[in-house]
Amino acid sequence: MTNAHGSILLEVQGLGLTFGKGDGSVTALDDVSFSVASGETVMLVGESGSGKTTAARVILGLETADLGSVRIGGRETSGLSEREWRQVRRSIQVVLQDPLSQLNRRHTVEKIVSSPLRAYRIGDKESQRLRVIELLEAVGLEERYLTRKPHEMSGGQCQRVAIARALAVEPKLVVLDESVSALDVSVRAQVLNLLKSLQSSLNLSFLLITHDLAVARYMGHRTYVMFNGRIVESGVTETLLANPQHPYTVSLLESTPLGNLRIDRRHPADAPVLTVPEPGAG
Amino acid sequence: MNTSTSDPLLSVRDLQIGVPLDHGETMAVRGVSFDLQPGARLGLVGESGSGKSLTALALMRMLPPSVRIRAGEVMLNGRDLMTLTPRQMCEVRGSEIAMIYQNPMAALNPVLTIGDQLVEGLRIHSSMSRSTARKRAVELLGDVGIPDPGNRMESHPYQLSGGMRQRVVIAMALSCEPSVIIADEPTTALDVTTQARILALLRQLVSSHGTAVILISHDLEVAAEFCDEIQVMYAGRIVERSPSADLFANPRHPYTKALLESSCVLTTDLTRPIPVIPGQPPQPGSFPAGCAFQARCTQARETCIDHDPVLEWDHGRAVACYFPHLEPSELAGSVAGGRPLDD
Repeated sequence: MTNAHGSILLEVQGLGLTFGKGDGSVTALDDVSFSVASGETVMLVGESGSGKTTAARVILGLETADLGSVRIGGRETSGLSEREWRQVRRSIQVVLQDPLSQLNRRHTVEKIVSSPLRAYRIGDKESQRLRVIELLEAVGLEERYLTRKPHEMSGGQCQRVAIARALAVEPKLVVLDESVSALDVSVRAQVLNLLKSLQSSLNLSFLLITHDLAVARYMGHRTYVMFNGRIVESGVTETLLANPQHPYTVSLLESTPLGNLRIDRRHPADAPVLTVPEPGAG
Repeated sequence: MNTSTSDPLLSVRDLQIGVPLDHGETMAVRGVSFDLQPGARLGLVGESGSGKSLTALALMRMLPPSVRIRAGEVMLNGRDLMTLTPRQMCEVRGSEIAMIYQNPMAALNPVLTIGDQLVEGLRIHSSMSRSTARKRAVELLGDVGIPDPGNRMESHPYQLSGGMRQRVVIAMALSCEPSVIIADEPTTALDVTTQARILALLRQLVSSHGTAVILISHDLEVAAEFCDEIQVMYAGRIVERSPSADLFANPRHPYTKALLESSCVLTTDLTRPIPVIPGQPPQPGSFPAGCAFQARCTQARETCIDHDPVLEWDHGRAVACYFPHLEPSELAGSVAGGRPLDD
């Protein structure tokens, strides 16, 4: 199967996941389906509790869904043995939100970035070192950073290190969970540009999780909007933002600074009525 | 320094704050001066290390013990807060100047009900009876949009969502009707739609009470939507102050301009990389000599390396730069802008 970008790399079908039982149970995922093609950036947009991170955890095999399937590179991931998972995971890597806490603060940058190479026994010590230097260069860090430790670097530099580590085993897909939201404005732009250029040079796919529609607009070829564990709207990002259909998407857009400018006001009578409750209001 | 004629409510002069290094101390806030008019909403915007939060905490006299105010004057309602005894400062905090923090969970006591916390604050600063204070607390919770406020008095902070907790913190900040509220990234930890609701609420409440607000934010767009005026900080200094709309339409300081261009917003040009500011925001201890922005500035010349520009006022706007961006119309009539200092 292919779309405008290329062959389908990740396909998620009908994911369902409920935490707990009975009255206190929470439905984290409710019939969630989406796909990512090679070379494509797909956005999962939503707020805390919408299920976007849970969906990512299921894809990465860190959480098991009650229902539905995840196919990575055409391969169904449920029922994979640990050994088979190790091979699948090479093609799908992750970068998290907090620049510092995802890195082992007692390790040097060299050790952090080479850890996937060691885990997969790729190359000897010398070739690993050369590969780390190459990866650092790709993310815009000089060789002198090899011996740094996380606390000796800024948030943006730590996030570059995390990206370099994710790229070490040449994955096809990188999952980025709010990976730019903790960065300073000027540094966020640097990292967004970096991701775009890495994508075109390595033909990478990104699944980018964010609450920021401006980031979704800049990065995402396609966007899925999540609310209360469901995908409530999806489409080509530009079209979706130009003419949002679901009230939740509208309220998200209106809440984004400058968002009011973007909403089509030509047909005010057709505008959806906002009925989205604030979480915890009841 | 401002051209405004009315007396400022809050007046900060030459505030200098030292933070500890491994050996010795370095100045993280280096001579910050500004005025705040009654009822005004002022944004204090900067990236990490700019000194915006230290400035805010200094006004509250709530800096960590290792961080020292080395110089400066903070006049509020005719008194210099920097010279007050700790006991006098306790009376001022809450009743004259209050703060809303980024993380509402940390600002609330987890073992007390929100009702008890509100009542405590009210009774410390007034002679209200317990029952009057409780009535007032319920009113305040209603004012900040908490449904069923009477019953919510008995809730503990963990039983509320982040947005509801921040509403409680706002109710506390407003409870003794201070003349200034400092809001330090009050919505950064909240969801986008909640953020918009909380800022709209805060805006409505401070307008009806005539409370002045200093909003600390890393986000120029958020600050511009909320504030009348914005002050941009960089490397422990104010580098530009301007009415919000003017700042966006015509940023004068090269840093402000670059920061605006590098923000990923809904109007960012999709056909090219986002223009970035090279390098990192400088951290205390490594602020460059001369103009602190010169190493990252595309306009920098020799003067900028050798000399440190001061904040200069011109027609209600201030900028600390030898080569500020001016509109062609401004260039024609201005003699101050763009002229390097002779020495």
